[in-house]
Amino acid sequence: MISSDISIWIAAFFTITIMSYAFRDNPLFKFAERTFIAAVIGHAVVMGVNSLRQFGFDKVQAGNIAYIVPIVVGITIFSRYHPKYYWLSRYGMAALVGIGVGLELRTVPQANIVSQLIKAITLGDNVLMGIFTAMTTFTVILHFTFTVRKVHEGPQSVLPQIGRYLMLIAFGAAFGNTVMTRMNLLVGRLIFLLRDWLGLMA
Amino acid sequence: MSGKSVFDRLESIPREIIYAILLVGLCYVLVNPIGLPIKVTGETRELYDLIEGLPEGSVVLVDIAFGAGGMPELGPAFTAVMHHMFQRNLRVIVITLYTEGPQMYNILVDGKIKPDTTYGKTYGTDYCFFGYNAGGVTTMAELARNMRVLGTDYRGTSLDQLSVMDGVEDYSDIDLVITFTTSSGGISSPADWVQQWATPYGAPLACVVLKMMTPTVSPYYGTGQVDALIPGAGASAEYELLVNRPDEGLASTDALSFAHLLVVALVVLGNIAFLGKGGAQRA
Repeated sequence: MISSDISIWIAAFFTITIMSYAFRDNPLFKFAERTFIAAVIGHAVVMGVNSLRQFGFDKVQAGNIAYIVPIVVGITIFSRYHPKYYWLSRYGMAALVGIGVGLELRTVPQANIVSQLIKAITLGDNVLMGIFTAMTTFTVILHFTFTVRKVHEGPQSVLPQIGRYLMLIAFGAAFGNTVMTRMNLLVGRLIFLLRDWLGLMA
Repeated sequence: MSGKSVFDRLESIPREIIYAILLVGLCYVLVNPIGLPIKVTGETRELYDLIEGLPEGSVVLVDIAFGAGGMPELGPAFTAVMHHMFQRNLRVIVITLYTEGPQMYNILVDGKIKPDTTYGKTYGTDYCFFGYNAGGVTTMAELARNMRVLGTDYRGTSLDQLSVMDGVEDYSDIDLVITFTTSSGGISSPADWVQQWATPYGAPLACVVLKMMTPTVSPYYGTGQVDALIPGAGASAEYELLVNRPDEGLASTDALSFAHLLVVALVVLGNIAFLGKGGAQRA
């Protein structure tokens, strides 16, 4: 049975108008697009302000004076809009970048380099997969080795060629997965339209 | 004659026609499901076994890192995995570093799963939700060191009044972290969880991601930094089967299969046109 819930009807209207872009750009799509962006930004602002209140102002009011420091540092970021005091924003940005880099550098070398290298050069439980991983790593590195030209000349040039094909297989798999995700998003909205709105699905 | 060959026409099928075929076909398959057989894959079974292997009373930290855009793919997977955790006596702590996370929690947990009525669970005792927490990776790193920094749940109840949080001080009190994420490089991405929880502390980590993210996350899975990795598409149907909760994931399986057959057919047609034109030009 078709839904009598007004919120479902509104959601169905926006779903159809957004989908209509696949056929052609039109005023209804533009309306839905702007409404969506406005709703997302409005929601994000409210959540941000609420977070500031919960983890900032409330703490200061409760007597935790130290919380004034991050609040003030945060406010300095907005000074970039002032023609005279814009330089203050660099302190806020410096704090943000410094903390971010510090947190990342603490573990990125281990997580993204050392662990991956160990995996690439050790066979592990699955010997065949270990050999394949090592071979893939080696041949793909060779493909991007431009400083040694001999790698790409003569009989040994077959190795970077193998690396190229292995990369193409990886790109193909990534493309297939992307298509599957996009289709899944479409199917999700169609289920909403057919089941929740029109009541055509069990 | 227009001078266009069959191959020219095949190469220039208007996109409107392709989209129309796709829409009509998907709608038909959704309303009249074929019921194609589904095989539970090893990856899905791995996450299921990981949760199944947790002793009663274990603490699971669930991270909602998707919004309305990712809901069609991750919503069914989230619902199925949460059903599984509520079927077992686990303590479920839900957090989100996404501004849209609270809405997803309201829609999926309060609106759909309803742990209180479906499983007799009590909010605050068996599960809790801490609402949106700003800060991204900084918050994530701080939570590993001190979970009490959360302060209050999304209803404003103090953490000390939530018995589900009893004894939960830092990463060492969390038995499993599961992130449902659409982020491959932004806030709450699998890489962030690997870098801030799994690598420095060895925290068990499971990732439920968009299908298109699996190639970027699988290196962490291959090295054992991620204990279980499943994509939302496809795996949600398998998980629904495992926990005996048929829902949206299973409903979408036939439609997804149809969509892929169509894409494969179009790729084949495109290649036939390409090769055909090449043959004609050579002739």
